[in-house]
Amino acid sequence: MIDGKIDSKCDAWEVFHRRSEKKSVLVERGRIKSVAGEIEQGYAVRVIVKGRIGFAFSQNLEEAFERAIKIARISGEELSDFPEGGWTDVKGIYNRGFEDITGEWLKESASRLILPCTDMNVNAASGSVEVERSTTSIKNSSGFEMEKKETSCVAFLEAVCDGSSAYEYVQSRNFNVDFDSVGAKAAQLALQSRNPLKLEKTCSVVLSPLALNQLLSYTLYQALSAESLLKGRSPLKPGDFLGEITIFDDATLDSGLNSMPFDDEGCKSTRKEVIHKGELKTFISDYRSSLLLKIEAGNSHRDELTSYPSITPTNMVIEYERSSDIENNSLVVHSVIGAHTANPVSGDFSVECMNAFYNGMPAKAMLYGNIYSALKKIECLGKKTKQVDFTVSPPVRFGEGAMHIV
Amino acid sequence: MEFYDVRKVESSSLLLNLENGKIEKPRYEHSYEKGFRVLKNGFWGVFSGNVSDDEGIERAKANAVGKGEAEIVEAGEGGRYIMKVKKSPADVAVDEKVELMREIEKELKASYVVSTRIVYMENVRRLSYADCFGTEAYYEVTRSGMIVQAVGKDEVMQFYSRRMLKPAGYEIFDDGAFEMASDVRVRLGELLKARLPPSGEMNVVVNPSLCGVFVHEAFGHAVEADHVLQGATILAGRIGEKVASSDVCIYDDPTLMEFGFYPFDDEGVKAERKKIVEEGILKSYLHSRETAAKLGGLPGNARAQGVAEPIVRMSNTYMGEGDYTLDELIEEAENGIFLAGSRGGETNPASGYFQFNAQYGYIIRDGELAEPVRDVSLSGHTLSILQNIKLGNVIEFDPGFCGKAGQLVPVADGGPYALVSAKVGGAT
Repeated sequence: MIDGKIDSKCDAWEVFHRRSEKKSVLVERGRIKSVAGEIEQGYAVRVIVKGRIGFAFSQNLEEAFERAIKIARISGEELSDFPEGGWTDVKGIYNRGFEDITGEWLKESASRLILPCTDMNVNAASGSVEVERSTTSIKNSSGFEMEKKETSCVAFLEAVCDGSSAYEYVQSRNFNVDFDSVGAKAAQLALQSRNPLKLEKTCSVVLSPLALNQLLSYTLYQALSAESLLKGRSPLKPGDFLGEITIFDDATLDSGLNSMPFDDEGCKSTRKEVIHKGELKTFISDYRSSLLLKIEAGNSHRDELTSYPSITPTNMVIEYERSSDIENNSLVVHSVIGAHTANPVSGDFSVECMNAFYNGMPAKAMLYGNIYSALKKIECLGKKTKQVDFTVSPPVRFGEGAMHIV
Repeated sequence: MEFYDVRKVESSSLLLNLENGKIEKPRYEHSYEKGFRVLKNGFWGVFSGNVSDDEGIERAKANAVGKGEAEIVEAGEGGRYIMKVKKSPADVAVDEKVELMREIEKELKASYVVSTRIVYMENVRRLSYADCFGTEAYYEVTRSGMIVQAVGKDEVMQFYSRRMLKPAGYEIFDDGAFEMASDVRVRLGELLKARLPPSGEMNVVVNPSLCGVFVHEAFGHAVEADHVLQGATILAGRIGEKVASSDVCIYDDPTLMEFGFYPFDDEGVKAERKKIVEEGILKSYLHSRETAAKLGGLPGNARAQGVAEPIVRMSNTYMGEGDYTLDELIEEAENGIFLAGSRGGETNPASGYFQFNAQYGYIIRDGELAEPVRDVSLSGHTLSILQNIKLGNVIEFDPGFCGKAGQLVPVADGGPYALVSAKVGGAT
């Protein structure tokens, strides 16, 4: 069907198909509430007609093609062909054991989330364990035809105690999620965060990998997108200096949450040094922007099966020369609320701290500042690296004055 | 098996982006999905996937592997609703839509504008609902809208955006779309010259858009009854108590023709207006059929993205008006800050702390508006703010998408101008 009838109606085509199977369990107030299963699949089709790209999603391949061809006519997005693509061997992103996960296993995992809360007399208010396995195939008229298999497991728990609340979540490609630790961490944070006092001083700020990811996702990572650069929405340009930090975008990282053999338009995965000792070296890019800027592609991602592919970081590995014990005399922040309200164009942000501590005492504070200025004032990194969504980093200490505390 | 239900959702959408003069990422989506729930021994088994109804129910039943305390109230009569729009988007040629976007884009041109983006969207959602009690509901709702955004550059970079999103057809663009774009251009020019905001606790006059975000984020999420059952809201167990100043009334009304409109919720319950707070007294929570069974109350606020599990959600949530004019509120504030527009917000219902960000503001000095400010955010504790609030006399709504448990649903938030005391922070 693709090779015959369609070829005559468009100059190039791409079929993206994903079949994902999810299973999950929900926790409500210390009890297991439900087990759910979901099977999702469909076709996202892109075509090029007279140099213009059209996109459509449907569960019916023929309909997807027809609609994509129809809409390409009004498109101003130009491309001559889809990528020939490639494959990089990546380890640890698929575990066959996920095929045999049962409702009983999910219930047992959820019980392990809850138990530490029960032991500490803290309310395991809401939580979940979700496992997913997916098979994604991409075929295009440039001859690319490949399939990738992935698995993931996410555990989340929010604990509540005397008006104090905290959450913890851990993601993995495998079964190595320590459910007991997730429950214990949330419970301990909720207990320790009771009766916070307003912090009345200026000091350095330590962001946990979770808080760091929250902040960078809505500021720096958006500014590092090649599309932001091309459209005048990034305050950054190659050669800019952002302190002394080094950041790799590494889609090949073993067991990385966003590692993959090829991205969501078939471009082979790579490891790129985006920032070298503070100097901005390159931007993250999809295929089309990579042609315009003459940089590497490999960062095309579809949030959902129905989504248009867009530029997204993979595993942003943060490195810095100095590491040490970093928490003394600093405001140590586990997570923040309101990071998504940051201004991605200017880098300005203001967030409310959740579960923050000063020398072990619970503190409440609003943090505000500019992420690009703050990155220049990083003092050191902690020692224990963790991946949260895109960010692979230890805790990071920002020097006094890097962020304002209200 | 105590209960089962089946949902079928068909959704068709067209999304167009006009970015810097080019239509980019034009996208058509059509999906049909089925969702199944079974309640057995007080435990939920859920399944979604395009299988036969019998197989779907069996798969959901196979997931009901535990024992729990869940129960459910009946939905009522169900019914059928098909929205009649004046101009169906399907009857308007796509070229006409693009032409309209191009005309609107012209309103954004200015020397300081370095990037523009106009998003056009149309969607038709068809929901069929049936349960084992015999409830059957069906609706077909059309939503249309546009988002206009521009980035400006002077000594700093700033962006500003506005949106019009309604349960309506193409007629929504007959009024206000061009004015919205020219407002974006003018406001962006002001923002580029705006100064850094002050920080600290101060008097704040918020506009209806920001008041609506406060009502939604800080209060609305705290009255969602699933949070009450989780023990994760500061308003758990406080029905009948005074939680706000006597001037405060808060409602959730899915029957209003704002973006959060729906005729039936995703459990087949006919939509109706809910009185949440009246004269400062907490009157009710927002309920699904399950939370209504456990806590008492009226269901009708269970919503889902696609066929995900329906959970308790808001619709069109707003604070009732007071007596003050805007000038009077600014005069009352005397010294402080006026904040307007929303870049979104977030709350933690368990602790009551909230944070949200304004699109722009002005210093209030000696009871009058003074110089503009940018990148300002507001945070505080929900109940403290509501104890001392003065309300304006006109209500307006702002549309958006609310995220919860990984699901997005269309909502609208509303309120009047209001004077509060809150913590303000901003850029460096």
